[in-house]
Amino acid sequence: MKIYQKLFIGAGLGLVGLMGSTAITLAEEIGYVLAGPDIYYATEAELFQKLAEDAGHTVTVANSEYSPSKELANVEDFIARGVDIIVLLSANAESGTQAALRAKEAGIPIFFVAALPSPAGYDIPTGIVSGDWIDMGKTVGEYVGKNHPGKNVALLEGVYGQGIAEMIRKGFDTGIANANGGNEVVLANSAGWNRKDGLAVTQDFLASSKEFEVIYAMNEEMMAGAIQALEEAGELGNYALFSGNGKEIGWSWMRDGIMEATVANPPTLEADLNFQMVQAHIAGIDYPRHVYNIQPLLTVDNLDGAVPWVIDDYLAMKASGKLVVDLFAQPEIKSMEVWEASGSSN
Amino acid sequence: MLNKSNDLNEKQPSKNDQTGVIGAQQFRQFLRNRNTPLLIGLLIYIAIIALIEPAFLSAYNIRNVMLQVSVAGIITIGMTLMIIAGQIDLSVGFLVGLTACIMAALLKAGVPEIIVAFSGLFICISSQMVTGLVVARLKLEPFIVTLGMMAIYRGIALLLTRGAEIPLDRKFEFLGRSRFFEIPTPVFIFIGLMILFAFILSNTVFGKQLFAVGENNEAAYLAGINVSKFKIKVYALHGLLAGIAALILMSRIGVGSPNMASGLELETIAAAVVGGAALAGGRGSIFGSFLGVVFLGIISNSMNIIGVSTFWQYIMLGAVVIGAVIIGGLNKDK
Repeated sequence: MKIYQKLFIGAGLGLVGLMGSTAITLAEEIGYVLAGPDIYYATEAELFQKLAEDAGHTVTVANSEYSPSKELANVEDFIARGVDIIVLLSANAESGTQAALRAKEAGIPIFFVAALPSPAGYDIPTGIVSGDWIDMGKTVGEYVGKNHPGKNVALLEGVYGQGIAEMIRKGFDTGIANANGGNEVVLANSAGWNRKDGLAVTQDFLASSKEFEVIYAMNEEMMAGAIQALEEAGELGNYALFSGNGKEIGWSWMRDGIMEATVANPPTLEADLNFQMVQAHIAGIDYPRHVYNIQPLLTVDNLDGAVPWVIDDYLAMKASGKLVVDLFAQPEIKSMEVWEASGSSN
Repeated sequence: MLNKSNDLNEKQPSKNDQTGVIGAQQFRQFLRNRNTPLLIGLLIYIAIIALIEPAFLSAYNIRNVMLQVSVAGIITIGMTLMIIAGQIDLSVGFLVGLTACIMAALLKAGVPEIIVAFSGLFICISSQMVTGLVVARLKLEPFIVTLGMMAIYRGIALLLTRGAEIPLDRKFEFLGRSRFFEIPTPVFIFIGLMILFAFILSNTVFGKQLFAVGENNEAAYLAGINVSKFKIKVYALHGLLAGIAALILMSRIGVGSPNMASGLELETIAAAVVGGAALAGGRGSIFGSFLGVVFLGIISNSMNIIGVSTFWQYIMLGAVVIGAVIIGGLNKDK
């Protein structure tokens, strides 16, 4: 009898173990390759990780430190490790495409987020969630043209070479041309996406004899530098200010009447769309292969609906029902616009 | 031959100079000075830019340039000391960033400003002393050790902040944003430190020992200098100056951020080299480094003012660095 008892207990335990292991195989191991240590990227990864882990997946994050070779190596490491899915937040379109090709050859689905592959490799990634950077610039350009016709513009641009600053610039130029307000960009230079350079470049612009009345910084960090430079020169209030990304600090500038508008590009919402795409893929459901992040123009009039960057605030907004994020409601993008390497001053 | 300082006032005029043709003698001496080509080059560059854009020489812009170069200038003083002593430091940019992050976090936690300031100086001095200790006692290459330290500082800063900025919420503004007689405080500190260290290098035993250690470690040892201890002292001074720079930079831009000073290490090495410092050690001057840091700062400022693309700024900066090294080499051969 004891032997039967033991066999029965053993079979029971085996069944429980089998059930457990079946449950584990449903969960996926995801390798997340981050472009570099930046708050935008960190927020993307952190929210994705939270959502994925809540859904029972495991997520390992690797950082490429903005190095194309390290990015490729990180993807290769994940392939060697045999992860089920790779999410790539690439800082370089070409190396990102190469990495995507390696993953595809290894039979591992790879999703791009907050980044685009090179135009020739557009079909390689399994899915893409990206910003519509050209449209971001165009939205601001059209607003400036309509509301500040004839005014000259000084631009604080991001880092050249990634493609993002170039696309925003292309969109901005198109926007002011579309608005037909006769605006001209008289000064433009890179302020490296950061506050320190935003301060220095704005100081230099203010010292220039070129006349301008509008300042457009492509993100809030550079705008923070610009505002400080204007404040120190006693010029705050004499310029119409615009920025991009729609971070919370920008909301307070608009409430205080310092800045006129920004275009939202919340990493939280982008990460959420990215997670929904990955989940749909795991579940074998059809999904739009490429969608854009949701990027409305924010002014003081519509700040109540602005999407937070702070993860807890974002989740609270979703939980309250004030924000509904549905991947399947987003229009599918079928092709990508091509940016031209520029970085020209004006 | 211990003191190889190249300051314009490095040679005292002889009695004959004073009684004879003083003007001609001094002019010849001026032409022979290693910093003269750089000074002339700088003046020509300023004249050309001023012709293109008269606003370049406005009081606002001069103050602007001096303010923009003050943080890099302070670190350049330390870097010049390091280079003269035959050392190099690739970690200083991220040390400044890390220190600013820690200080910003302390300020956010409500720690009094004075304690925060001393903590920042302590972090920089002690970190550099540890680096100096490793380099000097274990006789390791400073290039490799400071490269390693750079990664460590960066990693700690990113761990602390996740890459985000820590805002100061308008605390600690005095050092970076105040002015005296319309001149920003950081400019006073920068100029004051330049004068102090130019004096130290030209007129003190420490200055003579610095050149001796950089020129030849063994000869310096035989001359009675405790080379290891002396190098640690140089690292500590460099750390002190990095700490002052971190305080000013954090106060100036109102945040602590891991990447806020990245690239400063190369900028300051370039400024010192443009100013005549030899990476092999034993040669350099504070006045030369002053000219170097101002020249590099003016290039970026002038290009922004006249509206030239960043790409051209890189090319121009590279050309100035290489040109200065070539001229420095030719001068050395004379």
